[in-house]
Amino acid sequence: MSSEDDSSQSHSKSKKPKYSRFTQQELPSCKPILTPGLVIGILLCFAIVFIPIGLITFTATENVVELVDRYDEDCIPLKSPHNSENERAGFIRDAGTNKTCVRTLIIPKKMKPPIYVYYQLDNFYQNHRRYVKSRSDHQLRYASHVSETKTCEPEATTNDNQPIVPCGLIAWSLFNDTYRFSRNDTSLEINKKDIAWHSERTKKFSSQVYPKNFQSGSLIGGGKLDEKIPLSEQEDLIVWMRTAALPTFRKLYGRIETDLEANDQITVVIQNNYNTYSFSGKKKLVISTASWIGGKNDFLGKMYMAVGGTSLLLAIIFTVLYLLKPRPLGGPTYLSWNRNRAAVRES
Amino acid sequence: MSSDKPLLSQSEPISAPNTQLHNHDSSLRICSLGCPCHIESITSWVADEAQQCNLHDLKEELEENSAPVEDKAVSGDLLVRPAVKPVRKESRSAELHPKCPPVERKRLVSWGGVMDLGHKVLEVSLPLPRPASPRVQDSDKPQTSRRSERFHQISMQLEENIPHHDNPRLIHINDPKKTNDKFEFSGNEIRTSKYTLLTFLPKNLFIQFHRFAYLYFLAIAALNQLPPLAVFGRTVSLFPLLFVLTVTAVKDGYEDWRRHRSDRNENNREALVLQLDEFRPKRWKDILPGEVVKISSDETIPCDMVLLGTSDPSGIAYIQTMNLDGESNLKTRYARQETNKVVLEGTAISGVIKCEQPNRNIYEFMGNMELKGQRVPLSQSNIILRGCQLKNTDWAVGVVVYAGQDTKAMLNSAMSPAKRSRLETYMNRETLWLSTFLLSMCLVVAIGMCLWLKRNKTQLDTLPYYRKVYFQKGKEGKNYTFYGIPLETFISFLSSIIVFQIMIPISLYITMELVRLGQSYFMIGDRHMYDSSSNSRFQCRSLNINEDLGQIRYVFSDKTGTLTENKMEFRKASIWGKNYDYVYSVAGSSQYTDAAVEDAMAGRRKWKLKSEITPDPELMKLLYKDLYGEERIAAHDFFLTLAACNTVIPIVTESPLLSGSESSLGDSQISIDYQGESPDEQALVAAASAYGYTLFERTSGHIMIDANGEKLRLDVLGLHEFDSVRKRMSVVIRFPDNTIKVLVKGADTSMFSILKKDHPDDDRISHATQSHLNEYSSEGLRTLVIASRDLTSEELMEWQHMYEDASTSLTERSIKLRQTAALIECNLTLLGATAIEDKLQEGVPEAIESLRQAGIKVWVLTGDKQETAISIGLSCRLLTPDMHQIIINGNSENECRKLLCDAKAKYLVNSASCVEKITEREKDELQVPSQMKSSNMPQHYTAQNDVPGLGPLALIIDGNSLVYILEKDLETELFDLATSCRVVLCCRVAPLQKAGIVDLIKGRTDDMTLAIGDGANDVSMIQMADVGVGICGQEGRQAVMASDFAMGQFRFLKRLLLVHGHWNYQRIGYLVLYNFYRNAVFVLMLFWYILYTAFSTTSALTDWSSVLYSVVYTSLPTIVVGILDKDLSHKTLLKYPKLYAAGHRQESYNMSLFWITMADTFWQSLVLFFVPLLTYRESTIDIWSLGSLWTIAVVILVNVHLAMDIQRWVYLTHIAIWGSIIVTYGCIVVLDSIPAFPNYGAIYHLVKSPVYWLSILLITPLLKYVQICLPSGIQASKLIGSRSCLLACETRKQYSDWQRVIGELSRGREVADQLRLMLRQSPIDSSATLVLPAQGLVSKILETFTHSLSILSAAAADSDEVSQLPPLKSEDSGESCKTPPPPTKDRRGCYKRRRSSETRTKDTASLFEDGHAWRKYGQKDILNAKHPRNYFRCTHKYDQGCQATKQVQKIEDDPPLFRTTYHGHHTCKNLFNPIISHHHINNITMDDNDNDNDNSPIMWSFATTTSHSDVSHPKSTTTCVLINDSSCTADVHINNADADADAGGVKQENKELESQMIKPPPSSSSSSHDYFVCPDDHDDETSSLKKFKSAPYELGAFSPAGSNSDVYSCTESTHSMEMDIISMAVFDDFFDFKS
Repeated sequence: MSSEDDSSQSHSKSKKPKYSRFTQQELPSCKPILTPGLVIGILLCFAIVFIPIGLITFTATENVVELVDRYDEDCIPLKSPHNSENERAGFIRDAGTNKTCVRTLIIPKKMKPPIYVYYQLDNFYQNHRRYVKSRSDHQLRYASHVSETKTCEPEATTNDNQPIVPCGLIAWSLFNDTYRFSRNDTSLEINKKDIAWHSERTKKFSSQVYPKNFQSGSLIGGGKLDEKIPLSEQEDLIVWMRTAALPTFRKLYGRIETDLEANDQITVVIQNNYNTYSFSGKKKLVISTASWIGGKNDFLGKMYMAVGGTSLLLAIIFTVLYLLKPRPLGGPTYLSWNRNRAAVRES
Repeated sequence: MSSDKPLLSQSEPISAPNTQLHNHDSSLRICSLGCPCHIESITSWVADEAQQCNLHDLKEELEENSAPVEDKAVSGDLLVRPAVKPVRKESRSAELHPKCPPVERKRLVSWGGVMDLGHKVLEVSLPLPRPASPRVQDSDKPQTSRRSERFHQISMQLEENIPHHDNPRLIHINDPKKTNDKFEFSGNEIRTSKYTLLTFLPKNLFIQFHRFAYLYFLAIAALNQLPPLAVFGRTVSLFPLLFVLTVTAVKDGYEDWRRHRSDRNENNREALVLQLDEFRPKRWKDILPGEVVKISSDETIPCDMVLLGTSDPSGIAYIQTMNLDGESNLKTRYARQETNKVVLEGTAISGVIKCEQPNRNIYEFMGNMELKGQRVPLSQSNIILRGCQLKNTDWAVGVVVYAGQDTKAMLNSAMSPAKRSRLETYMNRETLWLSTFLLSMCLVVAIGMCLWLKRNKTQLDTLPYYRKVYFQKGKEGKNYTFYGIPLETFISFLSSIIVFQIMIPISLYITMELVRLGQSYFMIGDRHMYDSSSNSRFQCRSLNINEDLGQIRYVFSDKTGTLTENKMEFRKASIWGKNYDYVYSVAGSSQYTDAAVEDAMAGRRKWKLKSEITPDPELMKLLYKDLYGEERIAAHDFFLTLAACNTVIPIVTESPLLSGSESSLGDSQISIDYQGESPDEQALVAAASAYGYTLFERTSGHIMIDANGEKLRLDVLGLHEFDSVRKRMSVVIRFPDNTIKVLVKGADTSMFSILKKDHPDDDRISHATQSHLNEYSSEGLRTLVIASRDLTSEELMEWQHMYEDASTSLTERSIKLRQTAALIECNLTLLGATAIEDKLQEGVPEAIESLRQAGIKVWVLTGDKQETAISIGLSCRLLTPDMHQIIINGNSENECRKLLCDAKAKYLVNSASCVEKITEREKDELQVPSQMKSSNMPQHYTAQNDVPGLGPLALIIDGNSLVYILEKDLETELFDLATSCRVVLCCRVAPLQKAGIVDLIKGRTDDMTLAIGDGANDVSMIQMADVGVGICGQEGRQAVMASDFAMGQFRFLKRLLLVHGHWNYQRIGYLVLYNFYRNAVFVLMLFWYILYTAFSTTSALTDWSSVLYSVVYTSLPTIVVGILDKDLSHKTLLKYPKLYAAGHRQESYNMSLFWITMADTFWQSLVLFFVPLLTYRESTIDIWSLGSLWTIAVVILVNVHLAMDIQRWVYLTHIAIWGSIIVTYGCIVVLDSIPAFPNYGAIYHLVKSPVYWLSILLITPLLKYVQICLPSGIQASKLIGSRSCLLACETRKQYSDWQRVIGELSRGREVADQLRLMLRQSPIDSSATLVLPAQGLVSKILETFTHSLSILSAAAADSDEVSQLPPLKSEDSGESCKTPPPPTKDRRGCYKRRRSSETRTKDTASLFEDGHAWRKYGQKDILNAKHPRNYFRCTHKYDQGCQATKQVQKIEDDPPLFRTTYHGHHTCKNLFNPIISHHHINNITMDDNDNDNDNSPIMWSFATTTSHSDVSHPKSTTTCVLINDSSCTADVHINNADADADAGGVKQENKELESQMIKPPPSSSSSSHDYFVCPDDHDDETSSLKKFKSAPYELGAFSPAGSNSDVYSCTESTHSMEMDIISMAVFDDFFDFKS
C-alpha cells in the first residue's frame, strides 16, 4: 500500500509496522549455490593457490641444513652394557663425577649464519599441569613481590621459609647442559645474547629481581643461577621458563655467527649435567639454519602440495563426471520428499 | 475456567443422583404446599442451616412420603395460583429472566444435551428443609412484598454451593472492622509483582536455578573452586554463569519494576467509599472488605462487591466485563430489591453477608445476606467484579466482599502454563548423548592418567615436571597435592569435566532465547500480518515455542470469530413465501422514487444505527405502500417479531443533528447501539430497524418500538428464552389495542412441526419458505424461522397461570417452563424466515487450502449447530463436495460406538476389536431405545478394499457424542477414525471438550497441535495445544491473554506457519546443531591436546580464551544467522505449501543430522588439532603460542563453517562473521598484551612467522573443501541437497525469464527494423496494399512487448530478489553475488518493484478503463474538494502481491474531468490481461475498424480469456468460458514458433495454455473483443460482471449454465491459480507437485 494511504489512515494511531527491508526480511541477499561449475572452479582455485605455496614452502625447508645429535646415551661412561636407569641418574646426580663429554659432528652442507644451536628434550612434559602452574609471574616481575610464592609449590620456600627466587618447578628444573663448540681446534663463538624474546626480558623478568635461595634444597633440579645477575639477563632461564607446548621440544641455546662449510668437523664439548635419565628422556643437540619458514619441517609444504593435488584431481574427476553424466541442476528427484518416496519405493 | 479441572467432570454425577432427584423435588413441594406464604422464611433458613442439614435422614423420610405427595403438590399449585396478581407478576418475571447470567447459560448450552441434566444437578444440590421449621413464626413479617418471594425462589436455583462450605466468609455491611476482626481478609491492595527489593536476589536466583543447565554450570564452577581441581582461574570459571545470571536478573528486575509501577498506579486510584455516613474518596488499596463503595458510570470497579443499590429504581446495573471474560456486550446485574430501596432512601444499611470463600470461578457466586433479620439469597447476578466497568448506570453502591488478591479477577490472572518447544525436548535427548561423550572423554583421560601414574610410579617423587614430594626440611617426604593413584585418577576425571564443560552448550540456551527474541521481532514487524481493521499487529506472547510453528500437524480452529468475522449481517428474508434477497448496491437510496418509501426512509433515518444495512426496496414498498393484504400484515408482523422477540438492550444516545437537511424533522438524531448476548439477535434487531421497526427502549415490563414513525408500547407478558431443546424463543406481547400475540422465532427443524396446517395457503407458504431455507443454508447462511400467533384471552389466562407457576417453581423449572412454552408455541402462523450471514473472514478458504496442501489437518471445533458448521465448512472450502461425510451424533455410548464402528468398517481397515465389542453390546442394545440418527454414509462403499479408492473423508461429530466418546474407552476408536479423515468438524462442543479433543491428538501422537480461537471458550483449547493462537477479534482479549501468539485474522495463520514457522524451525534447528558442533569441536581439540600432556588436563588456551570462546568469539554470528537466515523466500514458501512438510519430516533437526554433525565434528577437530601439531613438532613453540594458534584456528573454522551453511547472505551476516573473527584477533591481542599473564607477547611473535599464517590457511580450506565436495559430488546430506535444489530452481527460473525477455525484445527490434525498411521503401502516400503487412509487423512488435512485459512482471512478483538477478554465463550455474546489470531499456520506465512508488497522474474527461482489474477499497472526502476521492487497488494485491493502486477523483464538474493517479506498477502476472493500457488499444482498434475487422491480427495478443468458478458458493454453478475467436490459438502458435529458440520452458507453457482452452467455434463473429475486469469477490455474480466494451456476442454452446448469456468473469483466486499454472509451467517442470 502506498504511503498516501498510510497517512490517510493514520489519524488514529496506526500500529502498522513500518516498512523497511530489514523488518520485512527482504534485505538484498545473495544465495550461493554449489553448482558443479562453482565447485569445480573452487577446487581449481585451491589447486592453483596451494600447489605453488606447497612447492615454495617445501623447497624452503629442503634448503635448511639441520644436524641432530643425540648424546644422552653416549655421554654416560660405559661401566657396563646395561646401565640401569638408577645408575645413570646416580651418575648425573653425583656432583663429583666428570660429566664432560666430547662429540664430533660433521657438517653435511654449507651452513650460513645465523646458525641456531638448540637442545632438544624428549618425553619431558613441560606442558604438565603441575609444572605449568608452578611459577610466580608476580615474583619475576616485581622486586616487591618476591615473597609471592604461593603458586610455586613444591619449590616455593627454603627450609627456613625464605622465598626462593625464581620459585617453582619450572625454574627449579632449569636445563644446565653446556656446549662448547670448536672447529679445527679453534673455538666457535656461541652468541647467547637475545635468545629470549625481547618482550619477556623487558616486561616479564625484572631487572630488579635477583636470584635468591635458588637450588638450595636437598634435591637439585637443574641449573644454578648467578645471584649477581638480574633475572632479566638470565636468558637461559627466560627461554626455559617459556614452557614448551609438546613433550618433545627444542629450546634455543645460542647462535653461531660464522659460516660452517660442508664437511667441517665440529667438536662439541658437552657438560652432561641435566638429568633426563630418571624419566628416560632423550637429550639431543641440534644445529640448524633457518629459512623464512623456520626449521626443517616439511609437513606444511607436503600438506599444501597434497591438498592442492587432491583438489586438482577432484576438479578433473568432477569435470569428467559433469561432462559424461550431467545431472540437471535442481532436479525434482533430489527434493527431500521425492527422495523419501523413492527410498520407500525401493524398499 | 481453569484448565486443570478434570475434563468433563461436570457430566460425571449425572446418572447417579438422577433417581433421587424427584424425591427431593417433591419434598420441596410439600413445604411450599404446607405453608405457601412462608417460602421466604424457609428458603432463608435453608441457606442458613443447610450445613447441618442431615441429608441422609431426610432422604429416608422423603422416600417414604414421596409417592402420595406427588398428587397433592399439583393440586397445591393450583390452589396457589389464583392468589397471584397476573399482570404484575408477568412483568416481573420477564425482568427476572436475564438474571441467569448469560455466560453461565452459554456454557450450559454449549454442553449440548448435557445441559438439562446439568440443571438437575443444580437442583439436586438444593438444600432440603426439614418439615418442622423453627422459623415459621416469621410469618407475621410485614408485607414486604410478595414479589420478593419470587426473587428468592428463582435465585435459589443458582444457590448450590453454600451448604458445602464449611467456612463461609462473613461480611458485615459497612463495618469493615467487625468484618475483619480476625485480620484474615486481605485489603484491596494488589501485588502482581514477584519480588520486593529484599527478596529479589534470593528469589530470582532460586527461580533461575530451576534450569538444569544453570545447575550444571554452578556445579562445574563449584568444582573448579576446589584446589586440586582448579583448572581455570577461579573468577574466570564463574564469569559465564554470572554473566547469564546477571542478564536474566536484570531482565526480570526490569519487568518486575514495571509491574510494581502499574500496581502502584492501580492501588492509588480512588473510589468513593462510605466513611462516616458520607461517600469520600479513598485510595483503592485502602478499601477493606465490608466497606460500602459507590461507583459512578464508566468507572472501573475496584473490588468484588455485592450490589446494594443502583440509580435505577429496579436495581439494575449494566456492566461490561471486557477485562474479565473478554465479552464486550453489556451484562445486567441486580441489586436486591430490599437493599436497593434502602439505598435509594439514603439510609445506611447494616447486615451480614455470608458467602463462599474466594475462588476463581467468575461465573458463580453463592451467598446470602442477612438484613434486619431477614435473609436474602445472593447469586452471581448480584455481584460485580473487579476489573469490570459500570456502564449506562449513573451510579451503583455495593459492599466489598472480596478485595485485593481475593478478587476473582486477581485469582484468575494466573499465567498461562509454560510451554516447551518440541525441538528443545529433542535437543535434550541429544544433550544426553553429548554428556555421554563428555563422560567417556573424561574417562579416557582418567584411565590414561591412572596408567601414566602407574608406569611412572617410581619416578614421581623426583620427576622434574611432576615432583610429588617436598624436599625441604620439615616437610621432607610429604606429598605435594598427591593423594594416591586412585584419588588422583578421580581428580583428573573431575578436572577433565571442568575442562570439557562446554561440551554441553550452556550458551545455547541464551542464544536460543535471543534468537527467538529476534524472530519474534520479525514476526511482530511483518506487515503482512498486520490487521488494519482491528489495528493490531501480530503478537508473540510466548518466547519459547517459535520453532514449533514449523512443525504443526493439526490445527484446531474455532469457528465463530476465527473463521468467520462474528459480524452477523442480515442478508435475506423470506416473507409470506416470497424471497427477498436484494443485494444492496453502492447506489444508495437514490433509486427510491416512490414517495411513500421516501417518507418512510426519512422517518427511519432518525435512528442512527452503528451498523447500517440497506433495505430491499421491494420489501420496503411492500411495507409502506397502502397495500393492505395478508402479505402486508405478515411483513409487518415479521419485522415486529424481529424487533420484539429478543433480549437485546438498546442503548440510546442523543446527538444533535449535523447536517441541516434533516433538521426539518425537528428532532435530534438519536443513535442506538444494540447490546445483546447473541450477535444474531443484534443483527435481526438492526435489520428490523432498517425496515422501520426500531426497538429503542426495553424495560422490564415493556418494550418501545418505533414502527414507521409511530411509537408502539408493547407490554411483554412473558418471554420463553431460547433453549437447546426447543430451539426457539417466544415472547408474549400485548399490543396497545389489547390484542395479544405470541411472537416466535426458532430453528427450522423445531418450527415447522408446530405450524398451523389447517389452511391450504399455509402449506404453500410453508413449502416456499422451506425451499428458501434450503437455499439459504446451502449458501452458508444462518436461518431462523419467524412465526406468530394470536392468543385468545382463555389461552392467555391458561398460559399465564402456568407461566406463573413455572417461573416461581423451584424445581424442574426449566421443564415446567418448557411445558408452558409448548402451550402457546403451537398452531403458529408462519411469517417467514431470515437468513443471517456469518461472514467468513477474508482469505480464510485460501488459507485453509494452503494449510491442507502443507499437510496440516484442519479441525474445526465449534459451539454451533451441525448444519451451520457444515455450511461454514463448505463455504470455507474445508469440506468439499467430493468428500464423504461421516456424521456421528449419538445419544448414548452404545450408539456412538456403533456409529464409530460402522464408519470404521466402511472406510477403514476393519478393526477386529471393534466388531467384537459391537456384537457384545448388541444384546444391551435391545433394551436401549435406539434412536439411530442418520449416518450419511454412502452405502456403496462396502468392500474394505475400496479404501484407497475412496475420496477424502470428513468426520462430523457433535458434542453430545463426544461426551460419551471422550469419557469412555471409545477414545481410541475416535482417534483412529479421526486421524484417517481429512477434515474433522466438531459441533456443539463445550470449551473443555475442545481441550479434550486437542488432548486426544496430543496424547496419542507425536504430532504438534495448534489451536486457534478468539473467545473465552477457546482458552482451554489454546492452553492445551502445543501452540495456542489467539485472534484479537470481537470477543475481547481472553483468548489472546491465554495464547502464545495473537493476531488479527485467521488468514495470517498461513503466513505464520508456512513462512515464519518454516523459517523459525529451520533456523533454530540449524542453530542447535551448529552450537553442538561449535562446542564439540572445541572440546575435542582440547581433548586431543590433553593426550599430549600426560593426561594432566592442561589447556593450551588461556583461561580467558576458553571462556570467551562461546560467549564472544563465536556467539554473534550464530545469533545473527539464527535470526536472519532463510532457506527459501517467502514467496516460494507460500506458493508451494508442500515445503512446510519439511518440518513434519523433521528435516532441520533429527537424530541422523546430529550424528552426521558429530562425525563431521570429529574429523574437523582432528584436522584442527593435528595440523598445527605436526607443523610445530620438534620446534621451539611454547604452549601459549600454540594455544593462540589453536584458538584463532578454531574460531575461523567454526565461523567459516557457519558461513558455508548460510543460505542467504545479507550484509549483517557478513558483518557478524568476519567481524567476530576480527574481534577474536582483537581479544587475543589484548590478552597477550597483559604482562601478568603467562601468555604475554605470544601473538606478537606468532604473527611475524609465516608458518603461523600458512597453517591457519591450511586448516580451513582443508576442512571446508570436504564440505564443498560432499554435497555437490556425493549428495550426502539430505538437507543441503534439497535446499540447493530449490534454490537452483528459483534461480534458474529467474534466469530463463531473463533470457526470454531478451529474446522477445531482440525479436521485436528485428521486426521494427523490417517495418522501418518497408516504410522507407514505400512512397509516403501509402496504398492500402501496404497496410496489411505493416499491420502484421506492428502487431508483432507489440506482441514482443506484451510478452516481455508479462514475463518481467511475473518475475517481479515471483521473486523479491529480482533486482539481484545477475546475468549468468552458463546455463546451469547458480547465482553469484554480483551486482545486477543495468536494467535493460524499456520504454515504460522501470519495472522493478519498490524502487520508488512512482506516481502518474492522468486527467480525462470521462472515466476510462485501463485494462487492469481494480478493486475499490475506499472512498474519502477530501478537504476543499467537491467530490470524494475513490481508492482502488489491484485485484491481485493479496494473491499475487501486486502493489499497484490508483485514485480517481472528479475534479471538475462541467465539463467533467476526472483525475486518475496511479501509484506503483502492476506486478500481477496476468498473461492475458493486457498490460498496455486500454486507451492505447482503443486507438489501435479504431484504426483497425477502418479496415477489415475480421482478420485483425492486432487483437490477437490482447485476447482475454476468462474462466469462472465461484469461490464463495461452492455449490453454485461453475463454468469455464473462453471467449473470443480463433485469435487465441493463433497467438499460441506464434508464441510457439518463438519458443523454439528457448529451451523447454515456453513450450511447456503453451501446452498448458492449450490444454486450458476450449477452442471456440471458428464461426463466431470475430469482431467481438471484450474486456473484463475481475470483480469484487463479494459481489453477486450477476452484478459483478463489468463489461466496459461489449459487442454482440456469440458463444454458442459455451454460454454458461445460467439463464443469462453474459460471460462470467473470473474471480480472483481461480483466476490467479490458473495464471500461476501457466506462468509457472517452467517451474513445474522441475517439481512434481502432484501429491
